[in-house]
Amino acid sequence: MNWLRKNSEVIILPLIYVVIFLLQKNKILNNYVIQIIMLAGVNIIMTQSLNLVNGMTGQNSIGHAGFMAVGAYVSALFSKIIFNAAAMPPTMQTIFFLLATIAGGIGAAIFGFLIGMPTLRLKGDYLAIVTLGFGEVIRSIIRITPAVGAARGLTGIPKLASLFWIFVFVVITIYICRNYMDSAYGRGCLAIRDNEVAADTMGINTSKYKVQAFVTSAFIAGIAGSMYAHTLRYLHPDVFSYTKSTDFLVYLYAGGVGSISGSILGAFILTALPEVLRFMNEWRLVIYGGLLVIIILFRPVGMFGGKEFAFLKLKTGGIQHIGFSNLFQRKTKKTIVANEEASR
Amino acid sequence: MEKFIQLLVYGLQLGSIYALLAIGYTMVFGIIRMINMAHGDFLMMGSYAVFFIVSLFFADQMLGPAIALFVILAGASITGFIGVGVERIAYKPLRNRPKISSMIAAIGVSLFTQNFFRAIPFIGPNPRTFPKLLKDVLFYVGPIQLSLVRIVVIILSIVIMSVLYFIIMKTTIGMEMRAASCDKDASSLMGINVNRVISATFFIGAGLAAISGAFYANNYPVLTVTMGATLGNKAFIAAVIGGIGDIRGAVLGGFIMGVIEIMISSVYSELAYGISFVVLIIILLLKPEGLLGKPMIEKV
Amino acid sequence: MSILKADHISIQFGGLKAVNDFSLDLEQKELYAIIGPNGAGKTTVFNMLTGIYQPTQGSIYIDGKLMAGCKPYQFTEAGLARTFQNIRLFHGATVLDNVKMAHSFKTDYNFFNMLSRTGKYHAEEKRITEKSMELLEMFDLQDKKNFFANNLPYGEQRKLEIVRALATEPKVILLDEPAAGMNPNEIDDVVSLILRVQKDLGKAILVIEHHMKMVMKIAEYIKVLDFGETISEGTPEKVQNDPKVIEAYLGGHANASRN
Ligand SMILES: Nc1ncnc2c1ncn2[C@@H]1O[C@H](COP(=O)(O)OP(=O)(O)OP(=O)(O)O)[C@@H](O)[C@H]1O
Ligand SMILES: [Mg+2]
Repeated sequence: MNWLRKNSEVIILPLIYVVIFLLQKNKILNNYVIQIIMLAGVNIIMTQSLNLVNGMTGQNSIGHAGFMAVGAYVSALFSKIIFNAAAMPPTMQTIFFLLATIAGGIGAAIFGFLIGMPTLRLKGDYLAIVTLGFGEVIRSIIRITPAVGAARGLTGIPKLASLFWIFVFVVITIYICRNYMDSAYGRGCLAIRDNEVAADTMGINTSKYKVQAFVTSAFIAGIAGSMYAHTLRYLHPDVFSYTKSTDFLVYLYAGGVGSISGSILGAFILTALPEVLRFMNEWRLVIYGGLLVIIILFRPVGMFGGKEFAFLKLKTGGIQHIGFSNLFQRKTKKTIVANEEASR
Repeated sequence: MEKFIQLLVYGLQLGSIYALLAIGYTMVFGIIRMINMAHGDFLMMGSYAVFFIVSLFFADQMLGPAIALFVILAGASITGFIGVGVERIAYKPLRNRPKISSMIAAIGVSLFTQNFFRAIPFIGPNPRTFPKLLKDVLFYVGPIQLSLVRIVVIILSIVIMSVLYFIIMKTTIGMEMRAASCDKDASSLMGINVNRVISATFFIGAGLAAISGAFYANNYPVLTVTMGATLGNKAFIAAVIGGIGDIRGAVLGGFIMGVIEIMISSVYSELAYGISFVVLIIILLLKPEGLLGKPMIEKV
Repeated sequence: MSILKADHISIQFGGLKAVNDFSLDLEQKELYAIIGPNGAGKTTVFNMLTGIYQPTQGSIYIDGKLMAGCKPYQFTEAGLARTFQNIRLFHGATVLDNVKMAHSFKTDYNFFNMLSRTGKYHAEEKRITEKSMELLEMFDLQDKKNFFANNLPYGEQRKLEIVRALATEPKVILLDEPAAGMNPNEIDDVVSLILRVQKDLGKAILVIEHHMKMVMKIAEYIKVLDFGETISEGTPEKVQNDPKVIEAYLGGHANASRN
């Protein structure tokens, strides 16, 4: 019993899946809603990926959709064009889906390395302009490459992703990001974010830590791309525009930059919200833009105050852990009290 | 050869537009070390402002050069004040926060303005056709066909940039700008009103963006709410190539970008953006501070 | 053999020669001090000795190893640590995390151990946490381990910076004005802390300080800088009575506008 309380994720996570699954089986959630949930899963993965760079390392990537595009197209190339996965028996399909996803991740990671290497060794905000340019260049390359459908888009990608697999990859991504943050690698990145000069003089090879985090982030974005491609079955270069990248930025900052839980909730809620509030359609991006400014100005810790879910068992602080309900970490309560005492 | 000179003129003209836009990026960066991701939208607002002034007051008339200039300057002032307002509301409170915050705020501003303009009915999502401000005259120098308006735009841009250079080097506000870009705290101790200097910077930057928007729209007369995004990115790349923080660098970078883009587009138009991006990466590898920038040593 | 050696180093910023021809030879367990009026170039010397600035002339050796062209983290790997005049803690992290962060480069697990949390990861994390706690206990900060660094009182922030520097297990530690802004009681604490680091932990120390009493009490050897030049050096007694030093300080006070 005690063990269970300590490891509540073993119950919570499968439970979430079973609930969604049962709702789907009993037709309470129709296919459209399920698809929204799957896309929310993709956005959660993307936001986690962005959090590694913008939240944990304090660098500024604003063209992350570019890595997603690479992952999507590479994986689709793998599963549709190189191997015709649609014609395979189901088990083989699963294997090739996983292989395609890994190929997408590796493809994105390679680009992450090529871009991060020259840029991240510099001090300053060069990453922003370089990732922005990268996102646009990838799109123009896709647009002139007939092998991937050029400007017409790539159709007929086998539908290999499912609610189950997206759920699995969301969980794996969260696990990886949690482990990253709570390790010497993550602490190195947090140190760079807080004070790069001090980090350097504490023996942290800043360029190496930044590139590691960036490449990992690109890999995860590539995975999200593969999930996306194999859910929607259709890719178009303009999907991965700058607007797409800013969507992820909004999810991340609204949820709470630096906070794993915040970026999960931000991505999920802001993906679902426009579907619920239909009138938002043409005002969606106006609201998102305004929201971004307001959050940065008045609530830099994000809508959820930088709290972390207890089941993540995070030891290292992304941003301030402030807890007030049992759902959230206990230890942080002490921190708050201690901090209040200190400031008296 | 004729082709080359013609392309060079096109390139210089596009370059002057990039240069005017890049100056805004570089001035703002020089003073508050912030990359204003919404700067391209000042270009968009400027060209819409000019569009509305012309269609309200001078519908279907051909403007003389004096009125055209006046209309452009009016559009520039309106945009300049919007620029000042944006800084006051969205960026000023972030001055002492990590730089990444103000950059993200700027992305929010950009997202907001573009989509707000798209959502409100009297601007809307459909492209508008920009009126011809001046009748173009084509003339020949030997076998080379040239367009008067293009030449005028290049010359006008150079005049404007010279005026700006004069303002910055010779006037009080220019001196205050240079002081503030060296050390904000020290200059405020010396009695310089840093808020005023920053407002002036945004006014000038947004105004120049509006002028470049009018020049751009005069040649490519399609207005859309997102027109500032791509142009802004290219101008930003230009500013980095020239050495961000240095106005002469922005001008140089702008002309380089314009000429490269036109030359490459004449061969393969889809590649132009990609190549300018590759140029950026190469410059960052070889000379990260840009062509005219000085290496910065962070004071510890 | 000397642990930290600076061989005629100079640096220039534009036209300004901030430090000219500075030399230093620091051996195990020695405690040297650098003094001088404001703007004399003391911090600049530290920045060169830690790899933040590259000297325009001269060379630096740590433990006999030539450090030309090395980055600050390589200086730290070679056995050097420092604190900053304007405190540079990792403000978004807790006190304990601040110390753990300084252990990063001595962590013995790789990327895949980290991602999959193997036994090695757990063992190393445990070791790092215990070592960090040990250091915090040694300097009486253990009760505040969950405070955010920027919520500590000023004096303790300075102390935490020293603890954090010690966590890199250096052979030499460079302290930039460790007693700045402190009252006499606190200064006494800092003195005993520095002496403990030197005597009990056996570190060589180089300290910049403006509190003359304190410097004279702890330093074995003093270098005096003025306008980037080394105008005097030697034992505290010798330096104290050097007319050049007295003049530099008086001149510095009489002409406050020069920094
Ligand atoms: N990165 C830099 N660029 C230009 N000048 C610099 C730089 N770093 C230091 N200086 C200059 O070098 C001189 C020495 O500065 P430094 O900070 O070393 O003095 P200091 O002796 O530590 O003074 P204080 O006692 O006030 O700390 C000063 O004139 C300073 O302005
Ligand atoms: Mg100093």
